[in-house]
Amino acid sequence: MPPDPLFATDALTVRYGGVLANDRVTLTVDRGEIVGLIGPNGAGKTTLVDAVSGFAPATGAVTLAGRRLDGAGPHRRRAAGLARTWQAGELFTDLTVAQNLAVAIERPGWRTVVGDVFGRRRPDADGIQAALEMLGLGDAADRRPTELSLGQQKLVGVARALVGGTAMLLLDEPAAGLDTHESGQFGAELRRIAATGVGVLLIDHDMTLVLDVCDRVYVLDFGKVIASGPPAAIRDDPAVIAAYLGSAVAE
Amino acid sequence: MGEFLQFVFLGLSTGAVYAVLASSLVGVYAATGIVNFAQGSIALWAVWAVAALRADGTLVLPVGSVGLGSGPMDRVPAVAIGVASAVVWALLAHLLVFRPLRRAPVLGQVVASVGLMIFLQALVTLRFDTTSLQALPLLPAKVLTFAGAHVNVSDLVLAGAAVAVAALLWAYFRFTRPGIATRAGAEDERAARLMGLSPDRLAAVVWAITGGVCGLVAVLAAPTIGLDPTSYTFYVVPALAAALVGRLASIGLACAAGLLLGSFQTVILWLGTKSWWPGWAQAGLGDALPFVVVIVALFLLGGRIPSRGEVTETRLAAVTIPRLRPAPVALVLAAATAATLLTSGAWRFGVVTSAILTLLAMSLVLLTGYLGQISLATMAFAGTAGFALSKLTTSAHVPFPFSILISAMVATAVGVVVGIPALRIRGAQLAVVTLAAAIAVQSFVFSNPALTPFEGNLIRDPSLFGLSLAVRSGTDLTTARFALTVLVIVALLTLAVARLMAGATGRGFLAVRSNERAAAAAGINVAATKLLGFGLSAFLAGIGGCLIGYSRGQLSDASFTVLAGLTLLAMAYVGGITSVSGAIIAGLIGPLGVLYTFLTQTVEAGRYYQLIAAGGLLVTAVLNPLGLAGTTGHHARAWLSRRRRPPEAPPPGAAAPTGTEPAGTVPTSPEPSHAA
Amino acid sequence: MTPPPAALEISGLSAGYNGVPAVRDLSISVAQGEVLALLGPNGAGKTTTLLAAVGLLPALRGSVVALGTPLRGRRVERTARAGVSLVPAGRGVFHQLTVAENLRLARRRGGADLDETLGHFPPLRPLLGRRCGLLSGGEQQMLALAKALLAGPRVLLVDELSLGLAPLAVRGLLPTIRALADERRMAVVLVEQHLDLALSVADRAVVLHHGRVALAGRAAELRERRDLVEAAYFGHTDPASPFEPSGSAP
Ligand SMILES: Nc1ncnc2c1ncn2[C@@H]1O[C@H](COP(=O)(O)OP(=O)(O)O)[C@@H](O)[C@H]1O
Ligand SMILES: Nc1ncnc2c1ncn2[C@@H]1O[C@H](COP(=O)(O)OP(=O)(O)O)[C@@H](O)[C@H]1O
Ligand SMILES: [Mg+2]
Ligand SMILES: [Mg+2]
Repeated sequence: MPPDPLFATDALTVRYGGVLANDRVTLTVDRGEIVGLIGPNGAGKTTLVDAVSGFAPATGAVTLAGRRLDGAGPHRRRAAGLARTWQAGELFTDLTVAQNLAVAIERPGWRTVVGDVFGRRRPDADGIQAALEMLGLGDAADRRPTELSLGQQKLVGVARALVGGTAMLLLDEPAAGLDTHESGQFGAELRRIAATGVGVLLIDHDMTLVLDVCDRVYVLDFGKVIASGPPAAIRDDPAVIAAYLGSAVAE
Repeated sequence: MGEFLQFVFLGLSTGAVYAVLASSLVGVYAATGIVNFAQGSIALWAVWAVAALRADGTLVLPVGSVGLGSGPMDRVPAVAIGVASAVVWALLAHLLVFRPLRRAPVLGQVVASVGLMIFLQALVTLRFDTTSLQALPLLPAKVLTFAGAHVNVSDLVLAGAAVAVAALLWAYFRFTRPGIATRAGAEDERAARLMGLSPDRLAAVVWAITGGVCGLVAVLAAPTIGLDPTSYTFYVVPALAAALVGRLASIGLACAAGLLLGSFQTVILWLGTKSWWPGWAQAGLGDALPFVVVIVALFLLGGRIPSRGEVTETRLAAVTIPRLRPAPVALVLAAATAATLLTSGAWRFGVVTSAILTLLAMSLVLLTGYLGQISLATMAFAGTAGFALSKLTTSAHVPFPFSILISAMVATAVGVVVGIPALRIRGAQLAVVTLAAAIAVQSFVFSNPALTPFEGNLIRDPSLFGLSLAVRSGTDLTTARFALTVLVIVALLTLAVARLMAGATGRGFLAVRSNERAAAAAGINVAATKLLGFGLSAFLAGIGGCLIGYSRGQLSDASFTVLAGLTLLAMAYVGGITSVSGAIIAGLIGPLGVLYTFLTQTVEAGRYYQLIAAGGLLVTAVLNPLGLAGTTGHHARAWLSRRRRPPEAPPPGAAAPTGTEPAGTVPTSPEPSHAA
Repeated sequence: MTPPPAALEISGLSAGYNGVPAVRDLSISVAQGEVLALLGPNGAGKTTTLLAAVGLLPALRGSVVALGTPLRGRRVERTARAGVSLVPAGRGVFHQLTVAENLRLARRRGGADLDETLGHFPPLRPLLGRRCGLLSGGEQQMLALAKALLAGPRVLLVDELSLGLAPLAVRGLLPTIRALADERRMAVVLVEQHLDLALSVADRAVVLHHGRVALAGRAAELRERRDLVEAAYFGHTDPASPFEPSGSAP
């Protein structure tokens, strides 16, 4: 029997009124593995991330490192090591880029109140700077998100998901807004992140990126998994070409 | 049963006013995103204008008046002119106050609309002969009998009118192109203009319609409800509660809730006359009801984390995270100590009051400025602690400083309870709920004869280790010992809060304020954080309330009115809701503080304080949407960034493809953005 | 033959935020029926240029003339009604309105046919009754484009055309844009991250870097010289470039 995967969903189903946005989606991601999730617009990819991270009502199981997470609130799932980014960025516009990351490390509560008033606590500046450098955002640390371009804002979102104890990373179209060159760099960064043992689920429409960087790919259409396998097989799968790619991907 | 029904129907005329106000509030909110607290005051003006016209044909204007014919005017032209006056006020409000503020932080809009409400209210009292004018009958005086109850036809007509107004407004927003365009313009003004729509003009139409219908129904209901210089102004609170039942989005629910609420209140009045009705529930239950209704409705309807497609960002005042530098802190402390020691009597009392107000404003900076939760209940928190202090010191003989700590803990508990609705709603809507809560606490606790003795709540003077810290000693109105005690407490707490703001807690609060969904995804327990903020803020306000109590020696319901709470928030906003310096400014200009003392003692203009405060409030809110401290800071930062940034671009190839220029300042109000 | 009149003429434009220019001394002109690709790395000033081109961002220096009328001092909504449509990146729809209501607002006299427009975006048809906030990111982008096309603009500015769109959807869209430019003489400025996509539909392309034109030329020629385009992305302007360095008409 193979060892348990790092992350798994089992028969995850999300229904919005008459819309079946996710239909018994079952997938796994191993430690250090980059898994792609592609599909046409409205296929239910974001819904899957929402359901897994606790933002959409779902049935079915979500497991991280053997621990069941379904039913827990979003912040609990994050604390357990499941981090996500957002398709629309969703950064804290009042905070600088570095502070955006700091928030994900030290979460407010009674302990921070006591620490702030009586102690001398400093955010983990090195960890934050390292995460920013990793994504090429070293210069942006003290800027506000609204001053950055769309692509950079997405990367800040990724950096924020990386700090504060992350075992599994769910990325919702992180490369939308990046140009061809930046997207290539981002792929290399993803590989470095995965090499540390973090599992990655990558949603993106940039086929060069997805097919280059992923170990396996799932294809979603109308909420259902219609294909899964290594990138080379996915690229030539007629069902995937019909529903999503349109024609064979040129290299 | 017949009697019960009779009271149900009797409440319909009040209910109709609530319903039309509530429908209009929803309409204005849909068209502009503004919660217009002044909706009732606009109607109030119309009512008095009609009364004056029907008395002797005088058209009363804000300045001067015009005689229209000799003798009383007929009902139809009088009503038409009265309604027209409401339309004009609504349009003026749009053009002069709300349109300039359309990109200001939500709090700025709330403060401005509260300012307008107080302004119009004051103007009515000044301009009309409120002692002799009456509301003459307008609707037929027929009475029907239904299931043993006598029902006034006028009540039914009013209820019917309310339903008709709601239906028309609903259809306008739902089916007509201008109506749909109005909603679009309110959501994203920029995108609407990019499509060739003119949001300002569209909003003006809604302001005019809602002003008109509110004026009309109030005028028609006045003969039944009675003429009174304030009533309609505060009808806006139950109306807001009714509007909130439909989350300021459903005109139908708002109308239905308004009608029901009117009936409920008369039924409760009727029940209060029964011998079996408990004594403690005799007063204030009708006022507390809206709050209860809203809370229940929100819990049945609301979701915790904003879901997909809900607007997740509201415009908020910009923040600069404070850095505590020893020199300025020492300077402020030295100045405050000097001001306490070098003054005496009324002046020292002014300084002490300003210090206490600074603490109250700090509680708002934390809760509203940092956590983004607009609270109009801060004075209620303070009052709760003050009243607890009275009971603790007179009945239980709890010594200082435990008395003050325990009282503040009581306020904390109330704060957490009032914070519960904040788990489900945000922005201007939350302001309404906290206002309802403040009114509930005021009328149900402070003004309830069963809980508050007629002679007021006495408070024993504090003492520590046998040393009296009493505020008065002999002829000394404000002892230096008491003043210094206040100063030490305020300084310690302010420093503690400033450290919170600069630390992890402050950053966490700001994260929640700027995007709850992202905050939850970053691992923050949003619900617990909000309750923590309400608790901390109520604790600070509670300490402030105790200090007010000690400085007065006794408390009555007049000490912590809802209006005082509104004034405090307004002052905190005008000072600068996101900074310590803003809180200090608020303390200095707040009621009975240093500015007030200056006006009474030096220029003897104390009776104009209210006027100066209200006028200054409106003007400042319109001109400085960031608050005084914010505007100054913003200019300073913009200037700095222009100096720091070289005017020329770096030579080609000198920099990486991603931007490397030093930071410019942030735009003052981030455009609302939406999640996909 | 006289050159076709310019639908959009930007000359000597400087625009930016808080008085700090993000684009400097920019001159671009787009003729009727022409598709111009506006390229460049993130932060180069593409969005800023588009905002200034519709008058949302006042020009610090220079001028913008759209459809023969200077923009200075003109209200944005009047420019829009005159036939200039901007699809802003990632936020062109009203979330509180349904898809049908969004489309209804976009229709204009002399605009395009609703049925025909929906034909370009088949996935939108079953969603007409849904509140836009509930749509997926890609569906919203399709709706934003559908709205812009429905208005029948004479100048169409699209910020990040393919943002969030699946390959199949993009593939269908490009010929549509090309056809509208050819048949309705629409002038199009396309900001796009995918070089190949952009160069495949455009007549001309301008690469911005740090707010200045780093490279400009005919799309067909730039397709052959990818090395030059990529160098321009890093800010290298090659003095030996075969293309004229300014962005004026070819
Ligand atoms: N709350 C909701 N109510 C109704 N439909 C919804 C809701 N949320 C999402 N949808 C629909 O579910 C489908 C899947 O959306 P999504 O997961 O965002 O797609 P994508 O794969 O593009 O990320 C879309 O058609 C969207 O309109
Ligand atoms: N609202 C803003 N405030 C301050 N600077 C901004 C703002 N928007 C963009 N910028 C800056 O202007 C420059 C150009 O940005 P933009 O036009 O958005 O680039 P692009 O669209 O090419 O990615 C960047 O350096 C960016 O940081
Ligand atoms: Mg998506
Ligand atoms: Mg851009």
